[in-house]
Amino acid sequence: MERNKISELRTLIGRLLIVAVIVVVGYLIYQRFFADNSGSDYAIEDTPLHVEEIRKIVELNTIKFRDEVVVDSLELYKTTAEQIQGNLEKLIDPEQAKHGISSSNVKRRLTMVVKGELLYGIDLKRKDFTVIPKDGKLVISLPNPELLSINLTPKNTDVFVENGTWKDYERQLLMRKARTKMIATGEKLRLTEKAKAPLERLLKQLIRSQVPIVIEYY
Amino acid sequence: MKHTVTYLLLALAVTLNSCGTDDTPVSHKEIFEIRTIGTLSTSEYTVGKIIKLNDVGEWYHWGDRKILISCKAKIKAGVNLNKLKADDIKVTGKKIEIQLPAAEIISFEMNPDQIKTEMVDVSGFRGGFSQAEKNKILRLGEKSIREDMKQLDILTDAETNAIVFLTDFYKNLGFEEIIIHGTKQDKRTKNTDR
Repeated sequence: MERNKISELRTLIGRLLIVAVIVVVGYLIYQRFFADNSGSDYAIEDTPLHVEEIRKIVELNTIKFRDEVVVDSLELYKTTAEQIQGNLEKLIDPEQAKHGISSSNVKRRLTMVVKGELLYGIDLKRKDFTVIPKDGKLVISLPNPELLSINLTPKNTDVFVENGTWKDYERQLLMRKARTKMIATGEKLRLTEKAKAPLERLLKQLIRSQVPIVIEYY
Repeated sequence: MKHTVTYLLLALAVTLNSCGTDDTPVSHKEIFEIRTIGTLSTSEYTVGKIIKLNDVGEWYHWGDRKILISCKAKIKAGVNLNKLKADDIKVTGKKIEIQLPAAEIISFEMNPDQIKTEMVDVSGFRGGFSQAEKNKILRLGEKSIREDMKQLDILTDAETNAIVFLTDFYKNLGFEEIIIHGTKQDKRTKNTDR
């Protein structure tokens, strides 16, 4: 009876040990291959900020355009043999194993979601403006509105899919593509034209003149 | 022999699974917002920073990774003229008195073309830095730049330049006496998140 109990206890301890080993090995495999260890707890060292240039500018911004674009770069395997070999190679690489396991025909893919802010208005530093009283009116001559700032930052950039190995210049190419798309959308929406009305309102608010104000663009 | 069998099994699994595709083109749906603003940018600072990261390995990740990234940011500051209230501008004959709104950060840009990985060092069984990881590191760099910006004189410069510009502007309009009041430093916004 006593011997039986000891034997059962040993079996139980043995089984518990096996379960513990399975859990530890499972956790290790998860951490090595599947866990998202991509920088959630990174801490950068404190380095000084260098001021490289200080410029006086005079830019009157009247339209803020916020855009969000998706840019993508995709390479497919050309043959089935290449696909099998490529996916096997991905399976061996711990960083790429999750892409190899689905065995898709995608060799490499980088998809980014980029949010940007474009400011439209007039640059009064590069181009002069004149105020001339004429025939009982105040004639203000201004340069045509233009795109003054394109603000892209890492905070507003998301790497949505990264399959395969990508170089910095390839990411930069995608960022340039995002920038070009935003500028194109701004042009399509004729934002330089749309910047005129708020500009005129703003100037009238600033001038507070009793005489009529006429605004001309050159 | 064992390896050959393993590879054969893997190859079989991959072949059987190779019908799967995820090459669907991304959607190009346009999401945008247009807002009317009235900001006068008067000061532009270009700043540089070296982002230094030492990623020490964990017990399940033997080895260290180090990276140095240099980056630049262009920051524009100025005043929001839309915040001018009716009683902030007082006109008496040829005299004008203005209470300027507090200077603020108007735009913040980190040009991707001016971001450069200077050095990467990987040891042990660690892999290199992916683009997603680099982006996360850059976000930390951006946060650090925004924090350090608070120590710069950009807002004071922006206010001084705005006063100079508006003085010239009103002189051009024929005013003889122009008084422009700035905002005390402690009343300026501490928010650098633009």
